[in-house]
Amino acid sequence: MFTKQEKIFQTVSHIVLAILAINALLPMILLFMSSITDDNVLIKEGYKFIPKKFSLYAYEYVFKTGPAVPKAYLISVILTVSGVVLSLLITTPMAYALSKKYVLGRGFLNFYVFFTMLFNGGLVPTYMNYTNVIGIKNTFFGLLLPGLVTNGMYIMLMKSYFVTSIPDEIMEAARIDGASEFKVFRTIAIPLAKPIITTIGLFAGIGYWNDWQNGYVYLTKRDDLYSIQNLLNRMVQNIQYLSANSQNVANADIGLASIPTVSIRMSMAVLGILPMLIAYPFAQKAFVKGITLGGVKG
Amino acid sequence: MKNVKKLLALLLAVAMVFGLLACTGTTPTDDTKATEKATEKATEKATEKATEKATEKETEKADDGKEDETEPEGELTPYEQAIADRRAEYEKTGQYQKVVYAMYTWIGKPAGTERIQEALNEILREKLCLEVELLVLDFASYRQSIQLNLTNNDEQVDWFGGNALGYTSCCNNGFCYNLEEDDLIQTYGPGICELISENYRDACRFNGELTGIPPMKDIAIMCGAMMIGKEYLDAIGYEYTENENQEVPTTWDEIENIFTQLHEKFPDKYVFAVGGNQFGQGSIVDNIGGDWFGVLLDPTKDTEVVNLFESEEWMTMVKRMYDWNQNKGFMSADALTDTTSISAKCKSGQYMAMLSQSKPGYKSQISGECGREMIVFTVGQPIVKSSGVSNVISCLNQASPDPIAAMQFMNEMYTDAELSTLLVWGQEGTDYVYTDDGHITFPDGVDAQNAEWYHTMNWSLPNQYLAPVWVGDPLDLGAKTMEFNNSAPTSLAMGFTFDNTEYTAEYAALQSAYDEYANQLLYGFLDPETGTAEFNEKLRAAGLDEYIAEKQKQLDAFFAAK
Amino acid sequence: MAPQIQTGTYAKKGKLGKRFVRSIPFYLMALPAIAYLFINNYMPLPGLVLAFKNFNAKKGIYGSDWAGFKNFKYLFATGEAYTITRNTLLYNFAFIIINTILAIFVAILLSEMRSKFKSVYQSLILLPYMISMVIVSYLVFAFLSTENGFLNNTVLKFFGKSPIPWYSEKKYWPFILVLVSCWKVIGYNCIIYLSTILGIDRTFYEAAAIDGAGKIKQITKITLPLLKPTIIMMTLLAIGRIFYSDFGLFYQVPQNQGALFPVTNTIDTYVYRGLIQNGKPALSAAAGLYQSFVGFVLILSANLIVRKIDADSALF
Repeated sequence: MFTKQEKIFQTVSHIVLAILAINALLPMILLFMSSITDDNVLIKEGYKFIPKKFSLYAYEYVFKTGPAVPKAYLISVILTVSGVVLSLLITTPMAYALSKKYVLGRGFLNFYVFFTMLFNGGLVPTYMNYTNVIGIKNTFFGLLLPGLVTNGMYIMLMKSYFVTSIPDEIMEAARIDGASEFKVFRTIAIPLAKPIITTIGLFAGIGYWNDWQNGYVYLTKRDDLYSIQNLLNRMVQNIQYLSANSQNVANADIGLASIPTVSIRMSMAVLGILPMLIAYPFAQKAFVKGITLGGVKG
Repeated sequence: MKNVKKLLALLLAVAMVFGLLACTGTTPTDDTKATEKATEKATEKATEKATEKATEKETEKADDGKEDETEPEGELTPYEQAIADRRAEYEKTGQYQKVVYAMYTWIGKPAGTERIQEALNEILREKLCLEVELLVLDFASYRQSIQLNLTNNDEQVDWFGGNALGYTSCCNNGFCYNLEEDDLIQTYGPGICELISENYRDACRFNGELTGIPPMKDIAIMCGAMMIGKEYLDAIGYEYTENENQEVPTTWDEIENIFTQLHEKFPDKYVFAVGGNQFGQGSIVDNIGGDWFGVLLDPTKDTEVVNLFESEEWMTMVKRMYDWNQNKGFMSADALTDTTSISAKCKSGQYMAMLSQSKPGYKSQISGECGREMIVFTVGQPIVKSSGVSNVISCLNQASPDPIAAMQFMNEMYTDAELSTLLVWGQEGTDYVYTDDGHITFPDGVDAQNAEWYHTMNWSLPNQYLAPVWVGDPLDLGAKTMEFNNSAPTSLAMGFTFDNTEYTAEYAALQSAYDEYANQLLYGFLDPETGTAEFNEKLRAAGLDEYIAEKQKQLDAFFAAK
Repeated sequence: MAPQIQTGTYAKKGKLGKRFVRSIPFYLMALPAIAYLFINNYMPLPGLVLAFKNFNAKKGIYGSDWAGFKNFKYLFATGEAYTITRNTLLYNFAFIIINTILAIFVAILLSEMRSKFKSVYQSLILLPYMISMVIVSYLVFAFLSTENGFLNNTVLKFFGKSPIPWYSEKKYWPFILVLVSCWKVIGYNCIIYLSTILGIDRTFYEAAAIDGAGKIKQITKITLPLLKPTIIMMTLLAIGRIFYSDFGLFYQVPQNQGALFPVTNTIDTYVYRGLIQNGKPALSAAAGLYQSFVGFVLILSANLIVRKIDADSALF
């Protein structure tokens, strides 16, 4: 049933995408292989696809020194899920409102969002605000709040989608049938906006999963609330510090002799992204289902 | 073994009694004497020297007729008065004054933190009528967390490690309390003043204010120490004799000779692992003010600030490195890009030698780090520079709610062996046990990874030499280190700090040029002559001459004030 | 039958009062975001004065002495200013053009793909976006290292070429950096465009197919015009960040190699190097304000031009 042009197109697409996919995948395989390479071999021979000597020691080391690893994973999952949900709850209605051209003051609201994408007070004033005024230091909210609408970009993207891809006629018809603006939004706009909501949800999810800065800034006395990226990042940085300043560190030898300083960086990167890769397809399915259900129920 | 335990029990009792007395009104002299007794016994030779000195000074002071030493009994010295005031306050409110001590480790907050804190407080409540809170952060977060907190002061922080944030930066940002304000350190930190001599305190001054104090540690450095794996030396049959410091004094030419032989014998290995600041480690040149733009070439004799990169010392070094790299093939072609630490490189067995700085006990440390016995060859000489003093430093937050309490706390940490041991090694039995020869080590079933208080941050803590010595280090490490510090010649610019706030633009441009050229030249990847010429041209354009002139001006003013 | 962007009865018309009443539900919808942005972005904004202060903790941000424009001096006062500004701008232009074109290309291929491999491709291409630049720099090193690198050891050897010391040859780096940036962000960018394409009404394509339009024609006549607003928006946003550079890409990926500075030094790396020792928050605040301000001016002008040509695509 494909036309000839269509067939050629599909073949070419497959080739191009396969090349890109392999390009993306190969370094990842290298990353994984080097994480299971013996540390000394890694220093001697560099990163190899097939290492001379395998070793799981780097992983062993992470789990042995970091008994908090499973808990940190749990916190990361809770953080990511709540972050995504909350982000979307804030972003979607705002974007929808901005997409309506007759809303009075729309230009101002647009600018209000846009301005935040360029200017912010900087780390110190932001920290002072969250600590002194909002009071989220050393709580879970310290991880959640500062990254919520990472920037106005998500709002802008979604707005643009509502403007271009959801015909006003459908919504107008519903309005005439007596549905409230909220109902139109829930039952018509949201289901139609599934592609962009999934995308923004994914971006927010990656953002939350990978964030390690907020933990450092806001969790000074509660490192039991560290997410997995916080924890891994901390280990890597500390080991790096230790090996760079070993001259100063008394008994550094006892610690250093047992640390796989190079392979550990790789194993941490793997530990950081692997769960996300495994969970991603399932999460996406559940997510799309959630949006559909939400739309129908509303 | 048993004896040591008994001794410690006795000490504990003694300390408690004296602690109680201190809280209710003995003189500081009694107090320090008590500690003296304690320290002498606990660490034997280690601190003998330091405390002896302290006593000497005390007597001198008394002879000078200093009032607080000779005050009649009955009346309280300001030191005791402060404690008495806190006691009165405590009886009113039921709350101890809290001092927050922000420590950094590379493992985060150890599991035993609360236990150690409580053990410290048991002593401190009696002795000083205050409580300490240990705020333990790891390096990864320390800098940012503490800096934000010092800017905003939303949580109490009293003592913090200025070096972890950048000491100059702390001073420039006004984070530090002037420890001599109203004679704070003289009145409430007499023990510190005795241990950290005037000379060393001067090295920590910033714009005339004493904004930090160094811990008791190695302050002198033995520059130019080349570590070579013993097995490789044996393979080429090289003969050497170690001196009493386990070092082998030699020359650059001899090192080159060894390297050549090593290279012939092991053509598949790299001879020399380069990393870090190759020049700083190899020479006595004093990079005054903490940067390389304007230095003292012979800091023990000459006070002229000159451009290092036009000096003979520089040219000799980069020529040698170029020769080693390009002609002799001692280094890896990836030397510039491979950021793996040099000790890890030696540990991997692919590299045979590395350059660093030596100090007492260094041989066992570096051998452990490299996973093989390393022989320490020295080509330089020991020296004391300002940077050696202030590179580890404790500062008091300017917003500290009670600087007097904070200073008294610190005074005890410098002088009380029991407190220091708790902070450094934790509690006996749980965190460490004595071996038969008087060293300490892990109790059965405890190792570096599951230990509850094994942070190895001794060097950053006030007085590590009051605490027992861990297996592997010589028992007299403290004494040796002090001797090393005292015997090394001192840079004339010791105590000079450079205020470059008016020259931030020049500094940024100079640093950029430095990052561009310095390592390429020092690792032998750029032709020494033309590379250095280009480098200097760029530095000139960035304002090197003005920068050096300003440095000289401030240095001259510094000498004039002296 | 080019599709139209809908205007319909929701269009901007009617009396002010009536419009306001009809707008109320939308204000309510916007409220959480307005509140959040106010707390997160606007409340700390007065802190920008830090850039003009001689900061001293004893006096606090607002109580510190004024420094005028002194904190900005180091950004302009030296010969490096030209190099770092040029590098920052040129790389950003290259990224905007190349990454956008490639992302759209891949997005279109993905959207037209009729195969179960589609989601596999999509996930794989997104993969590099999820790892940090530090890790990327190790991977790049694995490929480019002089002694052990994959390129020198395997590829060049295979072709009988002599090894290249990649990290000291600055002529390769503009390409390497563009390649790395592309590799890392293409998945992210392409998903943005893909979601827009997925939102396009399939009936447009069906009608076009019935009219006999082939794949290529459908793409040029339907997909691209409908992507235009998103493309313009993404480009405008990128222009707003044109004075910023990805620190990791320019510092960590070239391993901070001096020999490469002429082509890798950007405003962010320069500021970083200049402040390592002298970590004054006021100086970094000044750099940030300078970068934001230039971006702000540029984006306003660009938006003005866009509004003249195509009002619907303008940002505001």
